[in-house]
Amino acid sequence: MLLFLVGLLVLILLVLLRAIIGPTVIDRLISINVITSMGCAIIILMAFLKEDFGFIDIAVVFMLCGFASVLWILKVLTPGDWQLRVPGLKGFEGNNEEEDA
Amino acid sequence: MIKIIAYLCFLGSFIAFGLGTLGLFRLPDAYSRMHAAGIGDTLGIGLLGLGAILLGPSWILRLKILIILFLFWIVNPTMTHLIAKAALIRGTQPTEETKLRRE
Repeated sequence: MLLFLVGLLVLILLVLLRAIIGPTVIDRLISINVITSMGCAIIILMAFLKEDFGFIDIAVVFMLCGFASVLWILKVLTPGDWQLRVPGLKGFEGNNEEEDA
Repeated sequence: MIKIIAYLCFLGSFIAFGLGTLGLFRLPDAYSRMHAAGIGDTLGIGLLGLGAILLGPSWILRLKILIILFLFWIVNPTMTHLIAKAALIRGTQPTEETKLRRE
């Protein structure tokens, strides 16, 4: 079971690499989503490894916090009252066109 | 016997997560990467929860893991849908080979 846990950690590092080199903002958002679910899986495995089953409750809260964070990032990214406009920063100039490359 | 089946479930969940990660690196644009990530996550968490239910010591714990699985299977497709909608609104371009049908 420790082997699965180490394997999931390696997969999290690979997905983090995708989040760093991802060309658009949407790719980074997908990577955050995948990292949250892998973290939830790691917490459930940790509960069975340590035989301390309070970790299961922590997994629920972790998953719901990931959902809320992605919701608020999407609210900042799309047009509306909460949209973030930074002049000069690519992708955040207020028009709806995604940048090339 | 039950332990062997549970460990096979854990191995399957690890393979599903690995296939999702492979899809994140191999597929060409954001929409198809979303598809790969969604499939890997849902199947991986499902198999891991099945193994945890088989290994669990008490019924209240199995009920908690079932609640996690239920929430996950509602929340994860919703999140994929919202990200795809935001990508469409922001105007993220698919690859050149994608054929769009416009009436």
